[in-house]
Amino acid sequence: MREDRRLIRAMRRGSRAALERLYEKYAGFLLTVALALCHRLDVAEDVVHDFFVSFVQSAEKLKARGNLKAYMAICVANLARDRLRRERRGPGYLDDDIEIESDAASPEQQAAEREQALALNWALSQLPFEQKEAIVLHVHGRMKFTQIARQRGRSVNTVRSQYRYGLQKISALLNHEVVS
Amino acid sequence: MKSPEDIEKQLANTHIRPRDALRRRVLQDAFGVQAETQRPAAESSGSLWRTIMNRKMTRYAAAAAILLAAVLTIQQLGGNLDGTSVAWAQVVEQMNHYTRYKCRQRVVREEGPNVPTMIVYHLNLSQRRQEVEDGTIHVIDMRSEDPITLELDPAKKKAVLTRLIGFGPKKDPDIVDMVKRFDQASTERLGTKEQDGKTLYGFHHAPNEHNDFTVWVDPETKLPVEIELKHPTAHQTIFMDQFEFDFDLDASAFSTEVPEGYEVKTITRDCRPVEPKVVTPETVRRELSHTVYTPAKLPWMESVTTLQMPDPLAPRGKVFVTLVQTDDGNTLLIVHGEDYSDEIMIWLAQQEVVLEAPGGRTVRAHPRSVMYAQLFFEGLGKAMPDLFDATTLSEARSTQMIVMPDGVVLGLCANLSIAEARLPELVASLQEIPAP
Repeated sequence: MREDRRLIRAMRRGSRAALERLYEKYAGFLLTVALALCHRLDVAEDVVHDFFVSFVQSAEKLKARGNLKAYMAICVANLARDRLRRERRGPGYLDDDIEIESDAASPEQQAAEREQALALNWALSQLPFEQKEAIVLHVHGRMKFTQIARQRGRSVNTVRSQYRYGLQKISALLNHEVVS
Repeated sequence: MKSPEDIEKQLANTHIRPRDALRRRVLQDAFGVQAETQRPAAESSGSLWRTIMNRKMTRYAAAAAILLAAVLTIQQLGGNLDGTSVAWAQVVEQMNHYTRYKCRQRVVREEGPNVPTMIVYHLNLSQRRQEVEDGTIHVIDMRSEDPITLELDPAKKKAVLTRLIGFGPKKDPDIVDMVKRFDQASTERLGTKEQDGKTLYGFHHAPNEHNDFTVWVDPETKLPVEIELKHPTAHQTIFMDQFEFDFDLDASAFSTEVPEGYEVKTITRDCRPVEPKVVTPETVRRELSHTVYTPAKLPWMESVTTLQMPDPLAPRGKVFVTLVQTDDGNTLLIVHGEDYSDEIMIWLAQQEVVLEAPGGRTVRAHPRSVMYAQLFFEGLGKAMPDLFDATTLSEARSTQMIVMPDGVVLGLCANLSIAEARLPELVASLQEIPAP
């Protein structure tokens, strides 16, 4: 967090290195969040791009306090939702060009990991936006249910239920149970 | 069975690596915006700085402050004022003199299968040799369009040669290469530690939440002695030590020629762009390294067609399938896998046996039945829309696995439920395509 504050201050002063460092630090995380919500690499990349551009534009107004990662995750979720509403595209699946972070030693292990990620992405794509948003913000953004509820103007119980139902549905889908 | 807790863990461990093209696009546009928004502020702060520095008293005070800051920085970072400390830039400079190195690599995982310890000889970013603790040797050469990996088992005199056609050339995601790219500003000094009578200097760099590096450096050589890479989200740590830069090893150690006397299994993975087309079962047999089975045309089958199409489960590469249209409006897709690794297909033995057919043929459930069928049918619809209309994808779609007595496994996707009597007939009708 201290590093984030330092980087934001430096970015405000026009430091390219600070901006580059923020990109290196968070781009993978934000792309993971965006892809989990949009399911298409091209859309997720656009969302991450638009986020960084508006992040720099609004750098002066940014408060260098609080959890930057959670703030970024919420912004990306907003952009993803707007984008999906605007485009009204059906869910897609992991594109050919997606690279999953992996330390797998062999191409076979990489393929297995990729297939797991593919399955998860597919299952996420079957959920209503609010359910997957609750999952993505809690699991990837490490946000508490109370934080998500506050940000989204929902009750904590609603967010908690959305999260639980979402995970149960993914579990059912991956275990080949019939999901209505 | 995956519980919601398993799903949570798996989700948390899934990380997507941004493409270089995204980096270029984002930074180019963001730098542009940054330059626009910064111009007035930079000008005003610059002129203020000049005003202050033009005052004589301020200049002396500033010089003293800079000196004080320098002293404080050196002390806080664990260095000595006598100049014996190591700066990260010096380490990078030294490392840049070497492209090849040898080290021991260990992976400690909190859960999941153990990764064997190995000695890695890294010749360059595309060639390496791994001597694994179980006695096997892996030689990887990714310089050409068609990279090769050779796995040798000297005790059993067995070799597995894998050719990845059209996959390369590729560079290794090499840890030492990543370490070379740490910049001074974001690399934190950790002070010192004693090891084997030597004082080592530590550096820490965490480029993101998934990677946390600690590097211990010998102040004499200014080269790493130990590298520890923690993957906090994946709950594992990679340890590299026993470094030898510029090792001496005969070039033949990096050869992907199989030594004499070895029994060789050759696996070819075609990673080139795939043109979807109708092929013969004999073509499939020629291209795969194992027995190929196709169904005989049964009375209830309206058509049986063998095809090649892009593999919907892989970023590149092709897959062979046999498409069966039935008289009750069902579409079946038999997927011919490339090769079978017990390591990957360990899950298969745990699946429910749906059918035990004569001749030792069995049918098992697929853990991702609906998804697998969807991906293959959608892949087929995209590749050959005349043969399958993806909008007719059914909610009843499913996947099962047909396991043949010789270990060959066929995926069987069905768009609708398969009529009960037809599954045993289909399995019994599978005929071996003789090797050419």
